[in-house]
Amino acid sequence: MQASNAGHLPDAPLLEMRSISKSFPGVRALHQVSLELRAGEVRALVGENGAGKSTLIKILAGVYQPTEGQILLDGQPQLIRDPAHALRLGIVPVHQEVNLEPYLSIAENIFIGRQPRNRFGLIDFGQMNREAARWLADLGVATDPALPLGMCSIAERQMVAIARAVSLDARVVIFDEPTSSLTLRETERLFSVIRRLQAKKIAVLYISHRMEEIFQICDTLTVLRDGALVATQTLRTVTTDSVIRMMIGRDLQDLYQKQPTAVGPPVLEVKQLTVQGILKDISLTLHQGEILGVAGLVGAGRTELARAIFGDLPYQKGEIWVEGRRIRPTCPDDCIAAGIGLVPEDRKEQGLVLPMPVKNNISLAVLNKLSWLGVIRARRETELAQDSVRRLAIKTPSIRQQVQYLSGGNQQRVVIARWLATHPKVLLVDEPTRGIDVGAKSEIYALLNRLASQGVAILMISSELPEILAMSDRILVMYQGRIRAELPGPQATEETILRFATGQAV
Amino acid sequence: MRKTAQSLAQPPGGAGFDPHGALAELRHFLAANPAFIILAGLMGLGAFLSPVFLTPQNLLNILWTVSVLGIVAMGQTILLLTGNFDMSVAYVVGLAGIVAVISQLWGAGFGLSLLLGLLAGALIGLLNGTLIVWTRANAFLITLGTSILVYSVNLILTQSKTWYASVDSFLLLGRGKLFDSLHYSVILFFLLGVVLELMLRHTTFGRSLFVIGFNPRAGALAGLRVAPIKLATYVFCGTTAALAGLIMTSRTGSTVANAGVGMDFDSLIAAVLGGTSLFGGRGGTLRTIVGVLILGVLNNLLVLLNVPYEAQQIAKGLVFLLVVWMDGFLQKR
Amino acid sequence: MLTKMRHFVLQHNVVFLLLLLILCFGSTTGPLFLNEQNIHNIARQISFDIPLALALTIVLVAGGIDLSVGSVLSMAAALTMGLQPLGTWFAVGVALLFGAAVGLINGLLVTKGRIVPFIATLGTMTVVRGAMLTYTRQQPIPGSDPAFTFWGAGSLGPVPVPILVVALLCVGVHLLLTYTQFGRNLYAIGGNADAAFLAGIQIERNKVMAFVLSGLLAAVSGVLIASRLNASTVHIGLDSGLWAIAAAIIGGASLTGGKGSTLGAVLGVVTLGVLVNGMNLLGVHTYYQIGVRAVILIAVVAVDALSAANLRKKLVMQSYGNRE
Repeated sequence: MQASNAGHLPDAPLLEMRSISKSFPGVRALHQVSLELRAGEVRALVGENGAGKSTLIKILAGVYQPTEGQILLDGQPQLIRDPAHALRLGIVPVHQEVNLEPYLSIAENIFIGRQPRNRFGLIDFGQMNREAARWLADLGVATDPALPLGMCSIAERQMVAIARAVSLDARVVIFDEPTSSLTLRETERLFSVIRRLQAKKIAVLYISHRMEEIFQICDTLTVLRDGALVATQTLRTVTTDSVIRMMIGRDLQDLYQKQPTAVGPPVLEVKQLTVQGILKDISLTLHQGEILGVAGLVGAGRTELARAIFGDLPYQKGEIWVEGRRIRPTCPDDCIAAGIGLVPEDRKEQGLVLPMPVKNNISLAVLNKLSWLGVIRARRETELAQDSVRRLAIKTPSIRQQVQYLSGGNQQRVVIARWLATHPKVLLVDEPTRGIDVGAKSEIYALLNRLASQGVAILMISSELPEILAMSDRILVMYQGRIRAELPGPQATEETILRFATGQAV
Repeated sequence: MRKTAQSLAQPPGGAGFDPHGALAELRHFLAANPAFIILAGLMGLGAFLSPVFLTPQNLLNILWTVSVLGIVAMGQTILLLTGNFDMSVAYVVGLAGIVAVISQLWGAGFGLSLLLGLLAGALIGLLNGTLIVWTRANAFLITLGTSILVYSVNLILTQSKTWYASVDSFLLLGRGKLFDSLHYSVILFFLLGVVLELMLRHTTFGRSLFVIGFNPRAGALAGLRVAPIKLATYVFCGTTAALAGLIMTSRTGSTVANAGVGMDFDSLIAAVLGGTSLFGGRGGTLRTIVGVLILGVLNNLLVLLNVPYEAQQIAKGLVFLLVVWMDGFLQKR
Repeated sequence: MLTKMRHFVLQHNVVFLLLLLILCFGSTTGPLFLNEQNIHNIARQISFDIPLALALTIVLVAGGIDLSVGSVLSMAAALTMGLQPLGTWFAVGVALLFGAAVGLINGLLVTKGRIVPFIATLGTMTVVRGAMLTYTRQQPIPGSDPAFTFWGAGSLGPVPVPILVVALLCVGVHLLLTYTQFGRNLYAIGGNADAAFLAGIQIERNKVMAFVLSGLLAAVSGVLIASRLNASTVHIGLDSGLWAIAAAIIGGASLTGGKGSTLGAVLGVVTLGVLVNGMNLLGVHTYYQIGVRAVILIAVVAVDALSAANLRKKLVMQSYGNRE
């Protein structure tokens, strides 16, 4: 626990979180988590999705107040009331969903809330643009700061967000997955900026999924799992494997249990699918009983690929064939009729009708089959729901329970149950384990494996490389709306996938 | 809403053994539907304040008065369930009557004039629905726009004059009574409420309305065809408004350009008072019946107490704000 | 300079609409339209509409809407005339305070009460209208101080006084929206409230201020109209709220928030003013004019929604496309 490794670090922590707990109605997001940051330290914060990292960041940023525990800055206890207060205290987060103003200029986004003023108290746009250009040049961005931010790419926006954080008079900077949409060169620039921050005795909390990055830039490491602190260590004493083991609480092999299945004839064929500006000439074949992984950075077009196949995004060119028959979908209903199902990326916004009972959510896609002349046959609906709950082992007190009170894993099973009721030939699953705790994850994996062995063809989109690697028979890597590589599952590695996903290899 | 209901309905002694199951059930129901308590309270207040209030004559009179608004509120409720509004219903009420009366002058009989009136309402509904589905624009402002448009049509058709119905059987629609006591329009109002509630609870169409109200995106991704359903609800709302307009015209035997003025706002208040949410997904037509009755009793009381019209407007606005605030409060649970 | 011009024209494509309208009416009505008296008339008329359009622009920029401005206008006019016997400036002060107070209530209903702006201001619109009807007993109130008419009906040289008052207002609102932190905060809140919150901007306080300004500007308009008519009637302000929304959106504001400008609002009002004036000169019957207004309102709201959807699409495509 002592900073014995880093002799150059001071002993007294700059920022200290003591036994922080945070509960939401029905969920305990953080339990007794403690964390220290010293001036000039770069600490990695790792954990699986849903481990409590974002809750912890939001507490530091003043978005949430902790249910229990204390935050000390320079040894003084502080109640961080709101984001404005956090910024005044010098705690500056760079959030994962890039939170910026699309209509305001790049410069204004950097200086939002603290624009430089002239002697009449009015905003001095000239000076603001000059200063903004300087901060951007530091990050190697040459874009005109007077342009509206809406005209920038995701990567540029990420750089603007970083420029804002750096330009603030920060004592603690929190980076939440800053490289998820950056190329390797941009990542290098970011790292040199972080080293400069470090030299200025600024403490950095660095959240990332990418192990190499963590080993490259960080001094110390904090691991969270299921809302609890698992380990606080220096990076010298750990290896990638041991970190992953700490994150998931068991060995990777135990988590996935992939069994080789016999791959059958092609079920879904996509030929030269093009969505203007988003997807270019996508061709793929998906076989019966196969799990086809789709990897890529944020914004590479993975979700849009699934939406286009599912009739939710109109395409300008290309063909979609299901079991040798061409379909021309205009809406998802057409695809459901053809035997396709979609487990969407955002369960709560796109998958479930949260205030409705489990029963209604399961029956949603097959209501017409359950009804006679438009009248729903209550008994058949109930039977379907009870049967699904039993078969998928959905933990719910009753099929009348509102879905919003179920845990993430059980909610995801409700979505999958809805599609199983349609007896799909193809299941498109987008980030199937996002926001689900580790135990439930392995059950979702087992479920997907079971479906594949029963002959369902599965297209699995995921940002979690270990998941993609362990589950897929084949892997497609997307970059800027194109498929850059097709890798056989067993041979692929994180490194090769990332090389294609960032456009480094062609 | 659910949570408040449960915590209120929980007997203080704990739920292990409850000899008053039915009573607890009732309490649960009332806590989930506070509109009934408000209605009962107002009725009690009315009986206390005015000796004529509880006479059958006065009560029937209230029912007769509110049934037109009630029928408008039925269509409005169906729209609200999907998270939409229709502010054009007020002038559609006028339009339907005008179309019917003028078509009668041109020689249309009972059936044809009725049909034309309903068709006019359905057409405005179609216009509203098309604009909103196509542009995804704010339903509130779009329907305010069509409301003014319909008003101008009403003005052009009537030339700001009063027009009289000329077919006798038409007058029966609003004036006729069953067994000489209950107006047909009152029966129609209750019947609509019950039938629509059954439709909402037991048909695929009804189910899809709730889904669209809560989460249209999830609905579409589960195969619902959202646009046609929305269109249908707007057409339905326009048609019920027209039906209400025909009944109103038949009652007075005449019509003017702004015959239904105020019913846009009132139908919203009635639905929300009854417990239908402005945000979609929660509510039903039976609840709206209660809401309409509350509004009717309230109006009746204000009139019995000689409260001036202007002050009634203030009261209505305040009640509206209170109810929508409660609605938002319950939404957040 | 040239690029700046182009940027301006692109942002305010209403300019073209306006030129087209003027050309249209100029060619059909000829000397009736383009003479000094008529231009004078238009100028005076729009000077009463501009404060409302400014009010709506401020609220729309902040991502809200204010339907109560019409009611506030009529109540402010009623107060200005009704309290005039107690002192002209006292009456004006009360009227302005009333406007600001309604704005404050709107702001609190939206922020603390968490009621969506449409619904909240629809409610206050009804209450204020009821209050106005109660206060005036539905009777017109005549003015008692002839000197007060200077502000609404007087002229300084060739220029109507209300134009000068409104010009001052415009400069003030322009400086406020463009060159102050408060103004920029409103744009940030309307553009992306989450981002603004995370950037440390106090959302609620700024929103309440926007509604207060809106109520105040509506009251200013009411005072000017009362001065112009030297009376208040129950008919004024009935549909001005919707008309002002249309003007603000024509001028570049959007119901999705984060957009709009003072100049745009003025141009929007001028466009609609020219249109109404042209319809009057052409002898279009009132009934049809009401219909035309409705169609304009619908078209404006629809186009706003369609262009917002288009913009979203474009933003998405840019974020995918322009990396190579």
